[in-house]
Amino acid sequence: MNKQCIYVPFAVLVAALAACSAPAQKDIPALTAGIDAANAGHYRQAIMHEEIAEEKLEEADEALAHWKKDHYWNINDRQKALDAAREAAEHRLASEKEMCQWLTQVHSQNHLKDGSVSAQYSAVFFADGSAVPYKSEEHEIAILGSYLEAHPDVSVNIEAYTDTVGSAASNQSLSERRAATVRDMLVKNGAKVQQLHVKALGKAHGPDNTRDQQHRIVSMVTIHPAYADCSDLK
Amino acid sequence: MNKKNLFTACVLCSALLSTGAAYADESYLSGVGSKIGQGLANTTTGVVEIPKNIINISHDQNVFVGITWGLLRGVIETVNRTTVGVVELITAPLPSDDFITPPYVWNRFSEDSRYFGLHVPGYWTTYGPLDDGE
Repeated sequence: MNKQCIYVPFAVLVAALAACSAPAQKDIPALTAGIDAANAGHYRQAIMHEEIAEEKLEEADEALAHWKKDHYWNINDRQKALDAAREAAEHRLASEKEMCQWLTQVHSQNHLKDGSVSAQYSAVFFADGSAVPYKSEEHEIAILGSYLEAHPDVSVNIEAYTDTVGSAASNQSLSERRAATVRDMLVKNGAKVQQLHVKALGKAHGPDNTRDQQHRIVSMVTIHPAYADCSDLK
Repeated sequence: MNKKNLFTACVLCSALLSTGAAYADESYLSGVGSKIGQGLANTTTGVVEIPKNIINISHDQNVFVGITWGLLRGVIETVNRTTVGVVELITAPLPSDDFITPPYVWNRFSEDSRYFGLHVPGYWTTYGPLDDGE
């Protein structure tokens, strides 16, 4: 027999065995760290609790369906089914709490240092020299108005500006009229006058004689001192 | 028609009329058809109760109990199911609720068979390996 016929398969076999014996590239600490990172955070925890709640709820629903149809009468799953229903409720609540903590994190910039919560709206826009809005987000104004009606402890700072064209006196007067317009809109939607702190600030900061739509607005900043995220869950 | 035949006819008619609700969800003919099918199946496959009992009791307790008590119980259940199958065939024209649950031996394998709501003692209490209840 030709020697090559022996050597070549032998070499292939040796190479294959060598490849098999090569250790697999494992990095358990790195993978563990990756998994831990993926599971970290309130959002992931909320999802995990929700998944468990769904599983438990499915178990409880299944047992209930069996009981109603009188199926599997011989299977003793009463305690298991009741536990599943209870655990489903517990995990659902835990999920809601984690989700609430996540939401608090997400809008943490809205929380002021004293614990109250603040939000800014710019929902009313004016044309050059006019105190009549050419565009207003009626829906947002309505939501804010009804929110103020429902939460008497909330106050709003209404700050009205003009652009930098014109005299200081005329701009001051214009910003006062703009602020009054927005105040009236909020009152019309349920807010009380004592909740509204109107500030007519005249010309906005910026180079003189510059027409700028960004300056012809009225901004509203809400302050809610007693606000607490998901207060029902705590 | 003599009195005996008249009496039989009356009994049959009243049985058909009074138990009509049992086939309320389906037509009379399809009800009779399904009862015949069930009777045929139970008459011929009643013997499957033997492995069913052995498997489920072995899983619930242990292999020894499964082979002894499960076998004995399986034989009893086989006789029961086969007999019920024959009764279903005979009474197919008379609408009625199922005499046996599960109606077929291969349905809900972990559920112990019951006859008219009654069961043989010594049943298992956990899901078997062939059916987890889903």
